Amino acid sequence: MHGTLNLIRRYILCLPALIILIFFFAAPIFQIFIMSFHPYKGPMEVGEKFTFENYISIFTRSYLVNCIIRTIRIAACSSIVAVIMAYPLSYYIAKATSSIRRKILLFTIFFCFFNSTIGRGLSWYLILGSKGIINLILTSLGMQEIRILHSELAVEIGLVYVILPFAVLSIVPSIQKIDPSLRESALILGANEFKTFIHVTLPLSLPGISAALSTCLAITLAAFVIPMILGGGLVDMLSNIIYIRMKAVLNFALGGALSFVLLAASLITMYVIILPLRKVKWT
Amino acid sequence: MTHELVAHFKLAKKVRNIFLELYVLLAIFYIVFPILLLIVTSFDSRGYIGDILSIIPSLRWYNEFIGSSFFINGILTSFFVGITATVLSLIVGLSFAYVIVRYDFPGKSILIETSMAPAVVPGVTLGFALLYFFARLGSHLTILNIIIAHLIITLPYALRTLIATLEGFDISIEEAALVLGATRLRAFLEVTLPNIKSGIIAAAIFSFAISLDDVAVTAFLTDVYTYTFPVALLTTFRRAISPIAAVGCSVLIVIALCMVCAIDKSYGLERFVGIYARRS
Amino acid sequence: MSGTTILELKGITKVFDDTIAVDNLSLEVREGEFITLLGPSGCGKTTTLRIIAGLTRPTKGRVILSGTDITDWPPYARNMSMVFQNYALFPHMNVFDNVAFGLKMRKLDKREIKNRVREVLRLVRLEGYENRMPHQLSGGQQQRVALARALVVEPKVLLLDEPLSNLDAKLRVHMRTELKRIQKQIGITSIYVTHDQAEALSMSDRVAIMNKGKLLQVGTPEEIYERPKSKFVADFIGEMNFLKGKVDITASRVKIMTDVGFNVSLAKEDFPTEYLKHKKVFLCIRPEHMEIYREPTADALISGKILDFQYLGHLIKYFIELENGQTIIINQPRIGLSPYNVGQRIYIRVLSYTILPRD
Repeated sequence: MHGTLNLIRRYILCLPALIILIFFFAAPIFQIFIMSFHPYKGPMEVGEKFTFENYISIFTRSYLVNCIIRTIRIAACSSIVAVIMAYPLSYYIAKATSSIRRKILLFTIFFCFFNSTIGRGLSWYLILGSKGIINLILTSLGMQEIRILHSELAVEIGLVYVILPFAVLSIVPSIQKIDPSLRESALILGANEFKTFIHVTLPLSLPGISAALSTCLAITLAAFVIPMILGGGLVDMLSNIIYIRMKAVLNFALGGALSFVLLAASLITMYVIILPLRKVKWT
Repeated sequence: MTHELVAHFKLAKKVRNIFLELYVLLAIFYIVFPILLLIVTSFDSRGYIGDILSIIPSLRWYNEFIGSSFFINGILTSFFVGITATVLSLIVGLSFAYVIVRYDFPGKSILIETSMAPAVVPGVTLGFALLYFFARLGSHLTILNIIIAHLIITLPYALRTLIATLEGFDISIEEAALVLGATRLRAFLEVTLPNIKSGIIAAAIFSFAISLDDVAVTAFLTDVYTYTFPVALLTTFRRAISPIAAVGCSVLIVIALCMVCAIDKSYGLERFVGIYARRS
Repeated sequence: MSGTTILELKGITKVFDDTIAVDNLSLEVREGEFITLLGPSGCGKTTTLRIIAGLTRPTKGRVILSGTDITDWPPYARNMSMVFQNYALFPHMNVFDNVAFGLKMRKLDKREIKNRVREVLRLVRLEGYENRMPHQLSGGQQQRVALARALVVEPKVLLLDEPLSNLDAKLRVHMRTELKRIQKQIGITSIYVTHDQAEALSMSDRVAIMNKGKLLQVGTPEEIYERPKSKFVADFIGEMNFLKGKVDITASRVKIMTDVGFNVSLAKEDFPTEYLKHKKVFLCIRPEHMEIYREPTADALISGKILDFQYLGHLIKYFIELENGQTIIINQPRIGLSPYNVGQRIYIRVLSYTILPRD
């Protein structure tokens, strides 16, 4: 009797979360998923029959296919760059003992983390624009203006700035978890600091690196604000395309199909990049 | 091993450390500089984004901003939505996290994955899914729709923080209370809750930040009368980007600064790093 | 074991913030010997070991290996090895790679590495375990892999930091024998750190007792036990009863008087000269160096009352109150139950004692 009562009590506490998630998250998403298999009939409406035509039309339109590839490309590049940039910072935070500098770094990273995406996009707009800092420096040195804004590079720069804190925060715990005596063992056995890093620290922080990549990819694949501000319509990622289709035309069928392609692309990319790292399970 | 080699090792170590310190310094500059640039631009008196060196400082755009009901409405709505969604997120999240950390039961991992899922699903997808859903439901109360949407998107982050907090909480003092005769509810209210206060504050701030930043989902659910601040900002980008956008972003920067300080004072930034340790 | 000094610590001092972890410690370690640093927690023994290894830099003092000053050398240059308390096996490498690590760092060729690893695994009785991962091994097996990893590089000095503390009692006793056997077989100089007296006394050629950062006494286990040079050492090792005595020096004899009825009279030559200037001394008597009698005899003059006793199987531990109110412990080997009862008045005969200064 008591056992069942306890079980019920546990499930009851989960209930609010469950109801909210099922009703307002799973159900709507599922609804859209179903809709993606129906033909477009008008704004917010779909026809009756079951069809693959939405998906087919996505993959036959080169514009959309290019967009998908571009999204994956930008996401993968930004994520990898961000993780590489983040690692030394994570190492510093995890290792450096006292040090005011460490506190300052941590504070700065969190500051960036809590800063709005729009704000971060706008900041880089100011730097990369034709009247931005970079071009100012170049022209004052007598060189030619370069167009960085409204290019893939600009979007990637902006995305790296957005996901860097996520990467740092994902990697730090995995470095901190490494038992200090492992490093000391390696040192005594004849490995200098560099070799110790390569053979001990780096492999053992791999779980953190894969978590960082996974988080960064999830965020960049769904990027919306940054490509909008820094891409200026020339570099649209999948989220932007979906937005345009939906807000303007309310073609839920196609929008739904595009969303699920995006979701599938997210999952596939994440597994392709993460899988070789995930292979390692050391506990 | 000779004296030269020893000196060489010492030098190599010093050089390595200097490189790392330099990199960190550069990183701090890289993070802070764009923020400063933005703040400086907001004080530009010109009506367009011009080159930063010929800036004429003025509070022109700040005045415009404060006087603009468009933006002020946006801020008020954002705060209202943010606070409401956060409170709901905390209540829902806390009960869920409590059960997750304490007990094992069938379907637990599926539940956890589902609760973290809103963070993986692209915002636009969730946005128009909810648009359709609310339209079908006949719910025309835009503000309510937005609050519910924000509850969904903040839940994973609140949950992550709360789970980490509860895991770090020493359950034996709660058990001591139970043994001394308290009911589970009283033990929770009088023993557990006061001790996880800092974690709850951190989860609240984190949720609020996520809510305040969201554009992708909210963009689908706003209308002419009800909109949040970031959506309002984004619409001004349609025409030329003017310094008033910089003002708006500067406001968000100040809010971000307050949030970081608040988390540091309550929970501690060092501990907050650990909440990301869960998934791997 | 030769008599040459392989490692010398000269005036090693280590200060952390306000605490002095190691205080002016000087020690000579002989080649091939098994020497243990023994002391209570916080006495500085692990810090000393880490200074020898190069993991911690001393505030003052020098570390000299085979005549070369290595104080400034990094750990990877010292040709030493260390076995840690928590084994510190690399979790992402299998047993073979763990053991081979040091050899890889020394850039030996693959065949040589394979042979050496195989040989050392045989030595620690773990042949065939090459492909296992650390988490698949038991505590004892992990410890042996850690030992193998440390030995295979043929270090000049083997350092061991409480390596058996994490094992359960029975395994610990078994591993003590294993460790000693291997050490003697290879003849490697070993510096062992522990807080466990039994371990130190049973395994070591010499024991160095430390307390509060200071080195108190170095000697063979027998010397430490039978002839402690300070009250701390006397008290720390085993159990000790301390009788307060006053010194009375005459022309040819030294008399020590206690207030419990036990007095000794020694010829001046038999009394340690360095203690002659002390007016007050301790007579230190081990619990097993006293005998209990029902009636007073010429030798058994100390009278006492039995307060309590504990039956420990192989002996009975008596807690006895003496005339001056002091409580002492006597361990009486026994087959069967105690012949004496609580409250009974008995008489004690002292078989042997040591003298230590009291002021």
